[in-house]
Amino acid sequence: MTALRLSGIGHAYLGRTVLDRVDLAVGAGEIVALVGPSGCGKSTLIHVAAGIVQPLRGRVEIGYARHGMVFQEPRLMPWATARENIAYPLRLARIARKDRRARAEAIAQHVSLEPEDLDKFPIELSGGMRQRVAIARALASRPDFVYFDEPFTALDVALKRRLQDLVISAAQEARFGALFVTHDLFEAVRVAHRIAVMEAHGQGLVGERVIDGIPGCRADRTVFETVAGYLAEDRLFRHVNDIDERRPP
Amino acid sequence: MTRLGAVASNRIGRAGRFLWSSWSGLAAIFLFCAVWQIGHEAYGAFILPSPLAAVRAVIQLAGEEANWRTAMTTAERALEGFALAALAGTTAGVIAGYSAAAIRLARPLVTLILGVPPIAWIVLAMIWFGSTDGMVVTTVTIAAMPAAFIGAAEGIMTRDRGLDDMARAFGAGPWRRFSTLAVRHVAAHVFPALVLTLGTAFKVAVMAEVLSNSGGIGGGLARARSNLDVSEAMAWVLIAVAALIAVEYGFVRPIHSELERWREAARPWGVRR
Repeated sequence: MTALRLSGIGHAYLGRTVLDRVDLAVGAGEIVALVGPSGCGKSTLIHVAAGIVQPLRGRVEIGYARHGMVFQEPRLMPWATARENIAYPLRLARIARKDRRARAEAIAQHVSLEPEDLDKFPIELSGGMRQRVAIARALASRPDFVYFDEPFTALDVALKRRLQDLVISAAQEARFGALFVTHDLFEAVRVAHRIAVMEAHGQGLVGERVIDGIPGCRADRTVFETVAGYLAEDRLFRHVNDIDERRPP
Repeated sequence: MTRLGAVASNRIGRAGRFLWSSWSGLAAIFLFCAVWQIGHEAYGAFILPSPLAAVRAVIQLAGEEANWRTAMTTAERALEGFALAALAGTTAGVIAGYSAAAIRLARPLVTLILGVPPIAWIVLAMIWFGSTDGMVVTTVTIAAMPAAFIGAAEGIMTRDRGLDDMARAFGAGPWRRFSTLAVRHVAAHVFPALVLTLGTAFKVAVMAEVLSNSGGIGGGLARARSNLDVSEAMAWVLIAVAALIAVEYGFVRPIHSELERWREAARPWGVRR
């Protein structure tokens, strides 16, 4: 069964084409990592899939019931406590205040947020904690699909690893599918079942690789060797680390 | 239960700090009175009555029930105008904030309205409505509206688009995005503007009353002027200022500080008070 199917997606900002003829399908319960060099249109594609951006061309077919999303920045409401932020999707779904509280607290425990943190405002939390709140918010409405838009790029290595583990275990437990945008191949190989690689200028996908084993059960050594193998021998990943920082985003 | 207790103690603590901060306000008022007293001693009681004489005049005025009604008349007119200005200004500002074309059209209009002195509006409103309540309220509304309008429009224009996208990703339509995100952001911009609007409302109401002789505090002032009773004039000014302070600190500021609770939390230890 397909949870998400993108066909022939094309988009342009002010006449500048950023995406063209992108086709991608994600199965139910499958985690697909979408990699590509900076500025290749990964973020635009995930925004299109999540319904934030209306594509100029193409079709988005949705086979899941509900989705959540984690952004690169936490995007928390600064005036609301961590608890209210986590419960925001439930508020949008018009769930009663008392149930919202209970569910937000349950999911917070899941992502290792202490009860006393829940009464704090985002500004009182560290960067890692804020991103934990953002993950809890994405999972609060018990989605069967989650979009991750480079969620851990701004975090340090140790924190990144812990939050990746958090996502992997949450995905296994809640059995949600996910589209995980990243430009970090290690991250992609750790969390995903399959890696899709985008063309450097958003002209569709250039290919994909299914990663051996299942996320969370791969030894670090295997992850390193897989990534090293991709970068050294696989033509598909040749352009992934190419960055032209002078190009406008 | 413990959570409720913590919330209550937090609230009492904040209310206490708010009240405690009035000491500095009192200090400022007494400093002002000291300067006033110096002026009184330099120029004599006819030009500038002493603060004590003015306070005595206030007490004397406060002794008569009719004067309370007079003060209430002005307060009612000012608040009516303020409410109309706040409502119309904020609504128009929100609409203009969402529409780039509307804001482009509205900005020169706002400059125009701000450029017309309130005294001109008073004259126009006197011609349109005569010396009535409606004339004062109209003048107050027109003079006070631009600040609320600009505050609301700025609030909408500077809202966090990232949060908007987040809400959209979680399935929020335009109305839900407005009611859950934009309203909070706009409130932070509108409240300082409302404080300004409120001050304008009282000033313009008194001015309109003085000019049109339509009762209220302004009427009292006009009478004091024709009797050359400077301490009574001073007393009416004090009453107008006291009414403004009562509304601002009893109503507008507490709401604002409730909305800005999170900013308080953001302050580092040691500079909380």
